[in-house]
Amino acid sequence: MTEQRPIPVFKQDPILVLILGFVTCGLYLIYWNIKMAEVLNAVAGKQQISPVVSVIAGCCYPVNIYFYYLVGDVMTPLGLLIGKPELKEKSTLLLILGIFVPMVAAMIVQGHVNEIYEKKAA
Amino acid sequence: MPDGPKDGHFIRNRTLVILVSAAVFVGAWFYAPCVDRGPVVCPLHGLVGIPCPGCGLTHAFCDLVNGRLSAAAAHNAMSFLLAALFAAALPVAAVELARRKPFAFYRFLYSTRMAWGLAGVVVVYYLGHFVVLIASGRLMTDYVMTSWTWPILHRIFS
Repeated sequence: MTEQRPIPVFKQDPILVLILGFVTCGLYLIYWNIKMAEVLNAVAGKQQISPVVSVIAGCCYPVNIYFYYLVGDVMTPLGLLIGKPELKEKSTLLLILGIFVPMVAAMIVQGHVNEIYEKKAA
Repeated sequence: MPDGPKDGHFIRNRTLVILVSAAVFVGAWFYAPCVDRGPVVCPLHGLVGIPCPGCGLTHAFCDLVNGRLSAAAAHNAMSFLLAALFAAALPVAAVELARRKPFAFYRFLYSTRMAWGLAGVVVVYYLGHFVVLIASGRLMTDYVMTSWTWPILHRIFS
């Protein structure tokens, strides 16, 4: 089922995501996961990522893999939205980075989400 | 609304839920004998020697599947909540897959308010657990001294 909803604004410097992730001992990534679930659900037009699951993903590696699998699925509509249809090819990369270095995967996703607002502002 | 059966991702999604949930318990069972010799995989623990909210869950799940409940609680008490969630997710996803239709009773998982509440619980638990680790001296023995950077720092400053 699809729903047309305005995309919530969550613009953040990707480097800041990495720094805050470390400085807050990973707690910031739980906040980031919830906010990103809101944004990506709006981009997908459906409840693709459960916000509750996104909190658990911030604490548990296997769930984090599942979270980035769901994020990878939203790369297709996100790519279409920002005019980069090739973005769907990053799904596997995100899944692998989500397993080994979740903070880097978060930076990549944040960078592409920022492009939504930059495109709107242009 | 969660994914529906007409969604192309439904089967893949539920299959992944089943696999991840089963892998957590099966993996913990097989990994339990060598968990104390396992590598540090958390970047925060490895680089800084400080636990993240999920640190200790591997030990805790290995303890849980072997019935050592107090040891599991000492490593990370959130493992009880997560184990209950995984144990519930597996049959629910299997039945959904069989009937090709999602249940409605877990829609609360799609509530942002519920997510913020859970995040609050995680933060409070983490801070409390951190204080306990400092007070018991386990922060030093279990995290700082097992970090990737400890041998380097130890060599420089000793």
